[in-house]
Amino acid sequence: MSRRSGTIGRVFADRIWQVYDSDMADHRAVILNGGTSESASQADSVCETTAGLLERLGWGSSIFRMRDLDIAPCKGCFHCWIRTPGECIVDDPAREIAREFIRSDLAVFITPIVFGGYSHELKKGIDRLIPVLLPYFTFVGNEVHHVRRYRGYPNLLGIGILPARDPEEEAIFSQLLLRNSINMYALGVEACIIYAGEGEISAKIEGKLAEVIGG
Amino acid sequence: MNRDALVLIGSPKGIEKSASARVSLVLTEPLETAGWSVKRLWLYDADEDELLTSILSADLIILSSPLYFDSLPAPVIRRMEVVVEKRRRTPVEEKAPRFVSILNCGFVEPKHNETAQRICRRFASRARFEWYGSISLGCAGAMRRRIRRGLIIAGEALSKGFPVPPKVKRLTKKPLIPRLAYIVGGNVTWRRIAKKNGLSKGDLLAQPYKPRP
Ligand SMILES: Cc1cc2nc3c(=O)[nH]c(=O)nc-3n(C[C@H](O)[C@H](O)[C@H](O)COP(=O)(O)O)c2cc1C
Repeated sequence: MSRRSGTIGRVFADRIWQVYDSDMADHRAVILNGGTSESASQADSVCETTAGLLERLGWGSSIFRMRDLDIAPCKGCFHCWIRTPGECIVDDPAREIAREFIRSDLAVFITPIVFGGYSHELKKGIDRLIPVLLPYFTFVGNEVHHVRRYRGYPNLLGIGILPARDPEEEAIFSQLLLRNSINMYALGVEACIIYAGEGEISAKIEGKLAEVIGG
Repeated sequence: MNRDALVLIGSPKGIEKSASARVSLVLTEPLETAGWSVKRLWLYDADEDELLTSILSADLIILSSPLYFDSLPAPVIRRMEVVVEKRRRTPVEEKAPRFVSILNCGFVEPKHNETAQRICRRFASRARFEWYGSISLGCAGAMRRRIRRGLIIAGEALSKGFPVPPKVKRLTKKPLIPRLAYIVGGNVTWRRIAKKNGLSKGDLLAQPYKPRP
């Protein structure tokens, strides 16, 4: 695995998003940091830990700190299917996220768990991923889904932050990731729950990373 | 009996053209007939204060939203976060507003909405609303007799102060048309729309982003 001089420091010095040493790496991840203004510091530290672990594995990462990005909500117009196939008509950072998503082997969704699901900051980027699929319908297993536009899609790792144990919200979060993985053609999917004030998060995330990237 | 219903529309397509709006109109008809006043707010542009005061004065809140990636659209989640934050800081009232969620999705099977319904239920509990049931629809909220009947039965029950009856689930849970027919019909429709836009079959399959090696 090749890797140049990327450092976490550089990544986080940049306010918005940063790709580091990507093009040289054999594997790439796209990290969406969906921390809201209230959950910022925890989400940022999870993000930093995850990026550090990936860097140690020799992966290139693109990190998007969603709360700093001006991303319009999906309008539900489907122009990305029937007017400008494969790309949203709105030109904002969501396009870059979709582009990185398709280039990546792993997508990491970092979020405070909100009613079991994603924060609005994370979701505003996910909603705009619809152009990476085709409008056509097909069977996936025993269900109807959209046909894939690309041959490969990244595996999914969802890292959800909770103030304390909450079996119902944790179950919803896992179910959401599983359902997303079917819609997004992810071959591997994992959910990782981090509790507020939890000390050693690195080992936990590392374990989940290993499971989802098969390493 | 209390008679103020608040309908929150969670579709970017708005309060008139969206499937979410159309579906909610069928449900609220029996309420209006029974003398309820029904107020509609579009979650995408609702003023925060108006949203919060409307919620506090409602006896029944109906969220009607599309399914976006197995969950709710981002702006809907944002409004939910705001509502819960606000409710945390307001005193507990004697009678909590009742809450019903209607979700519609693009695929033929209504069960795709299940995860999002769990999220709605969690939201309701966090917001101290009384859970009064959910309705999940497939086929982009297409209206057939059986679906219309389900919505009317639900509306009638709600107008009398009862939650969505189990019968509604029985009427709405099965796909409206055979799944293969939906796939074939849907695909023909997409191709027709693309052609009208001057795009060939091949154009529709464009891959503007460089895939991973
Ligand atoms: C960004 C986006 C994501 C969507 N995700 C799903 C999905 O996960 N499952 C599904 O069945 N339909 C999905 N749909 C389809 C919508 O739920 C469907 O078109 C719905 O009927 C729209 O309702 P509305 O007219 O009220 O906006 C998605 C649509 C968009 C634009």
